Amino acid sequence: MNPEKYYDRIEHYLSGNMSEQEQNDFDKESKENPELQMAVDLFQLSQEAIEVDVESDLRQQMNNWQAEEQPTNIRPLKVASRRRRLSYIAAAACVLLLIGTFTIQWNAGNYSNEALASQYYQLPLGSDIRSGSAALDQNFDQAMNAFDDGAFEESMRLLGKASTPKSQYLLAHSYFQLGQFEQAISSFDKVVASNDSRLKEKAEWFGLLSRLEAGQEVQARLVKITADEGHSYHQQSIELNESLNSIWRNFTK
Amino acid sequence: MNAIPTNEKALIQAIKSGGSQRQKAIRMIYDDRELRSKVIHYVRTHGGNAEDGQDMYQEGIIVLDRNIRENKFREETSLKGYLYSICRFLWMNQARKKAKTTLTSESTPFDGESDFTPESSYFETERKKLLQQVLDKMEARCRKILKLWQLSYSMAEIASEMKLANDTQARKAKYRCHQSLMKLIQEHPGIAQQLENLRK
Repeated sequence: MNPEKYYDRIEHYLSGNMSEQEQNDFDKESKENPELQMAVDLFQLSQEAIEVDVESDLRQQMNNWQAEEQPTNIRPLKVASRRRRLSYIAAAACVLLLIGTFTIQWNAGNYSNEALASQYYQLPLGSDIRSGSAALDQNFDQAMNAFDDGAFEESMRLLGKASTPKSQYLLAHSYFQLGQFEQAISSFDKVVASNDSRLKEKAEWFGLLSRLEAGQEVQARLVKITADEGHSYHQQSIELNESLNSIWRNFTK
Repeated sequence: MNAIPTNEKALIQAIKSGGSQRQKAIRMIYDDRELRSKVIHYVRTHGGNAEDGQDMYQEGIIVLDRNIRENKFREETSLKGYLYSICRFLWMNQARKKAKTTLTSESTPFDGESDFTPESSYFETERKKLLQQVLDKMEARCRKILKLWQLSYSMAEIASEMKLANDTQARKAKYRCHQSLMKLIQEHPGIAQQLENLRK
């Protein structure tokens, strides 16, 4: 097969630049000419190969964007210089450095504020929020459904001014999901202030996680929950406290 | 069905036109935090975690980009809704492959992928591996020229990007590189079979 012979015509055909008549003639000819048909297939397969490269570039590009989004709390390590004659020590140092770098990166990923908040965050369940008279609150149900579908902005729209603690609570979670942590903190605080017995402790906990995401100080609030053995999030608060004071987290600071 | 918003039309046009406009458009879509959260939420509530959700969002954008460039995207649908349905479908297929569960109504193929199944996905993956082997044998410069051509750069733009004298030189370079790629494909024993399959 000599694909060069048909190259220009195939390119013209596949780019959609032929008139309808030309296309019909080409289709007819390729049906009658196996060599032409094979050249078309080869051309298409080559385009698929190029597309593999395009996809690969795009994937790499998006990975870079994702990496840019990660908090960079790794400080560059100072590596002491080594004399060449001590090459074996240098090699060992390189290995240790590599291990150290990987460890720091792993820790930075696992002990960052964002990672810890994400680890302890839980999506609100309708059963946690709805009261017995929920059937009367159509807007709230719609907002909850929208939230469950991931349509957070729609959920916020349906909640309107969020006049009840449960609406305020769902609004706070919507803000959290959208990464608007300052607003989430404000809404969770309003729920805490409302003293709603079903939601107060939840709002305290998720308000704390929102502060963590926002890079704010959380120690005082965390101490308060860890000291309260009856708090619904007592155990989680102890674990979070340990993670926040972990040597690994401090190591990456 | 709602008409596609003007800003989405601009994004589609930018992707079709290629070059830096395409990059900017894809970045805008990638940065759509609301849609990304929605996809991650979907994956998290269907057996995956946030990382899986992020991966699905990226894979969805890759499919979206290609479908737009190949005119498979019907512009009467919303771009965001289309991307969401791609991500959902990709995740359901991945979950199905892992769990070997039956397809639910949620995993209905999105427009332009009516024949997309886990099986076809498997063959596609295999074919991509073979094609990658061929690409690895090519000069980096040739690969770049062909990528630019695939992304609808004009010959003048390719000449400028690759520091060639003019568009005639760019056309010649693209032709030479493309011929070289097709030759490598023809010579690859595994791909000869793929060509046979195409003809069936």
